[in-house]
Amino acid sequence: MKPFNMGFFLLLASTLWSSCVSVKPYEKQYLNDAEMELTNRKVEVFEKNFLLYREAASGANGGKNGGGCGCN
Amino acid sequence: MRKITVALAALLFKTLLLFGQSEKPAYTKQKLTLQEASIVSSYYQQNGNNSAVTGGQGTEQLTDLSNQLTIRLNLRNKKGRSHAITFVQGIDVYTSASSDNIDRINSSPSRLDVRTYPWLGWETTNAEETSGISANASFSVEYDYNSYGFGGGWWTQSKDKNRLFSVEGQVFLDAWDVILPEELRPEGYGSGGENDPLPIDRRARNSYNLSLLYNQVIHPRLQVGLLVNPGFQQGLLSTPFHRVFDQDQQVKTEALPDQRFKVPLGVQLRYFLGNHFILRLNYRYYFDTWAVNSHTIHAEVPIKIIPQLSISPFLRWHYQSAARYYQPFAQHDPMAALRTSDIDLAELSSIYTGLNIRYQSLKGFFGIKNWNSIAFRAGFYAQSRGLNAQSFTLTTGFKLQE
Repeated sequence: MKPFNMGFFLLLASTLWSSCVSVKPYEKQYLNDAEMELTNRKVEVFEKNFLLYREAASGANGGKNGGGCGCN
Repeated sequence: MRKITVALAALLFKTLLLFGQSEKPAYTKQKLTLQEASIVSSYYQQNGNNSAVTGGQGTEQLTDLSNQLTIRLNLRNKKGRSHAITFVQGIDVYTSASSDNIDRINSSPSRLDVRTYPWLGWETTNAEETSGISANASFSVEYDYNSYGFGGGWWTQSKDKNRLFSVEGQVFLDAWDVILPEELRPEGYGSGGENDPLPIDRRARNSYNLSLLYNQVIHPRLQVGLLVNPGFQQGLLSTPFHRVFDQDQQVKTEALPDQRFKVPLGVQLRYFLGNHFILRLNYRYYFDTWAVNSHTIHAEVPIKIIPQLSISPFLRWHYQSAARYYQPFAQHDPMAALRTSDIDLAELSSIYTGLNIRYQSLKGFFGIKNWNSIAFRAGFYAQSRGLNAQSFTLTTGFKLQE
């Protein structure tokens, strides 16, 4: 892996860790909206499968990273 | 005076009753109950002219009809610990024109195939919902390919629920029949057809995946997630019925290394802009030991027309470099021991765009109170190498218990 990429992710992680404020439960009306979820929606499940099979890259999107044939 | 006394006594009694209720939390219910269910149905079709079955040229036409039912049951024990059991049953029916070219005389069994895949998961969380563990097992079967999967995970989050960290491991133990193109079968080697008594080989393909996830709330409108999702595969990673033509027009089967190590890194961002717009951004950088490097950006902007209804246009862009073993049709060095003309491993870029519509109702649909959500998603996919695809998905969700 290129050192730049790993460095970028470590820098991002440490920045996130140190720079955030504590958000109270009563301030979370926007964060609790269903569209704000970080995970993929159920309606995207098959789309992740075909993208996994039609491209060489996979993973880091909530879909599986291996297993299954996808040979057609 | 008597009326006031009676009223005060009633108020005191009611207060005591309420106090008693707060002392006796709702989680004493220990019966396993159906919490939610959903059905996802999808139609997918693609067409292109670079099929790996015919050496990197020829039809890639494929249609796939997929359905998935999910049922989730839940209970809380006396200590307040929550247990959830999720069962998923999926079934795909697909037709593949390229698979029909494995054997040009007899129709290939893979031309029309059905894949079924049950999945069972269990998850438990502590009473404060600050940590949990999970386990799952799955099975997938199609005509020439079986897959057994199992995994487990652990997650923890801060008391204010602004930070979450999770670790998951997943293993897939796969086995598949080595079906060869008709002209490359040694004497005495079977076709893989149901009525063919001649034997064929069976090989393993195993995948081991690790997922590390860190989510952070930045402020009341913004949260970010970081993912590292390394995976290692070993076994038969080439597809035995893929043909490769070398520069001398000699036909061979695809041959790829028995091992592959993949590292995807992802960043996810969600931002609520004003009262009607949400920005969903995903970026992924990927590299592996086959020399594939890729960048993928997915942007989606849900527009909340009313609180229950959102319409989300989306755009995804992907670029990948070629695997070092890839060459197009009839370009391979005849001496190359490892070779593929599978266009999925070529240098390419792709655009995927479409629309997502979601409606959530507290009152239900068509008089069914528990039917609380409907979502529809249409997507159009185009690769720089010429493949085009369309995907249409409908989801219905039922909330049976909070």
